[in-house]
Amino acid sequence: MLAKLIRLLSAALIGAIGVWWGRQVAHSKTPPPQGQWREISEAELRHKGDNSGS
Amino acid sequence: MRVLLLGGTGIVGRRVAAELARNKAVTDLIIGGRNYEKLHRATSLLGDKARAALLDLEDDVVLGAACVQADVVVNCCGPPHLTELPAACAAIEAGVAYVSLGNDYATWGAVANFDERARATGSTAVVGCGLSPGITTLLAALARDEFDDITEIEISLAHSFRDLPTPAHTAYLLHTLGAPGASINDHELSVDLAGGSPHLVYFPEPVGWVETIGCGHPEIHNLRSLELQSMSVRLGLTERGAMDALRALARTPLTSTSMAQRTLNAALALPPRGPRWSAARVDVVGHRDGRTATVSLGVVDHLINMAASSLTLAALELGGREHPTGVRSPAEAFDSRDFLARLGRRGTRVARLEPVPV
Repeated sequence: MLAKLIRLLSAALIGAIGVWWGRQVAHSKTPPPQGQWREISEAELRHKGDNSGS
Repeated sequence: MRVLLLGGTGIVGRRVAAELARNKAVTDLIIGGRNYEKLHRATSLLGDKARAALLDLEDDVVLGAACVQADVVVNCCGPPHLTELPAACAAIEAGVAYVSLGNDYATWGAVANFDERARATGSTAVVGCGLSPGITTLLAALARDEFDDITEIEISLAHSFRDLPTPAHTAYLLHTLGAPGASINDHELSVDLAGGSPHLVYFPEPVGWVETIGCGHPEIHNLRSLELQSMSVRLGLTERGAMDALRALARTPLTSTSMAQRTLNAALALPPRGPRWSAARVDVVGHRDGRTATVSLGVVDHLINMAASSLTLAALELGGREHPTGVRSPAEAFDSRDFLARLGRRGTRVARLEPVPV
């Protein structure tokens, strides 16, 4: 009975580590930047036009 | 200006108290709380303006009497789904201005039911004036100015748990990811459990890409008047191991805050851990000159700085001049450009996503 329980818990633990490891591998490469974040200055924010900087 | 600060002994509350005590416009700062020792310690560091008031949010008589002594009530207590409603109701009944972090979807709706009462008593209540809602609502208002009309808003949040590893933050995260949340699809409001498929979102640097899942947040109430075709809010942690643990805990019945706090702290040891910065991103889709366009705005800073600065600015603004009464969103109560510019001066970076030229 105890041996069966230990086997079950071991399988669950190995499964959990496997899922975690799989996610690590799947997400090890993040995509390239989607664009460039440009800081909006205080002067731009206070200007009542658009904030596109153009 | 007399200010009653509730929850002034917590991490965010102490920062707000220090900023308010430094401001010349504040003549009296009453810090309310349940623990006399903590209150005494907090007020002793803040000079002559500050004094302690022993009160409990469940005692509405004492709370009401404290509210009457103030011009503005600032609520930093957490988590909001347990503390928002009694504090907001007491301030509204006392006819004084009220501002809070208020980041719980259901509670925001409950406080909004007191809109008429607030108008009758002459109270202006701005519920949700931290990072989200608050800064995100103002970013959406800023982006809206660039369009003739808008159809979609997506708000994404990246919290660093290491930035604010408090029980209140843990309780908020558990509640937000475990409770039903609303989104707008094809002009219809739908309420579902938080979750859905994970989605990578690119936040302002140094946060970068973070995995997020859908959740309910009060911006759905705040911005619903815009008659949007779709709107959703997403949330993720910059520490991926902690986010995985949080998603599991939020779905587990009877998870206590202390147990979650211990688990999240342990999960922080797992790689990869993103930067210890938090960020928000607001994507707005609309029409401009007959063409469809998208504007993406974002902010990045430490969570405590964004929450405390935003709350302090809102309190000073509400106490400084007359505002239309009623329960208001930050975008209705404040000028988004001026507010964000003043936040920028306090170190919060406001940015715009631009395509990289090929």
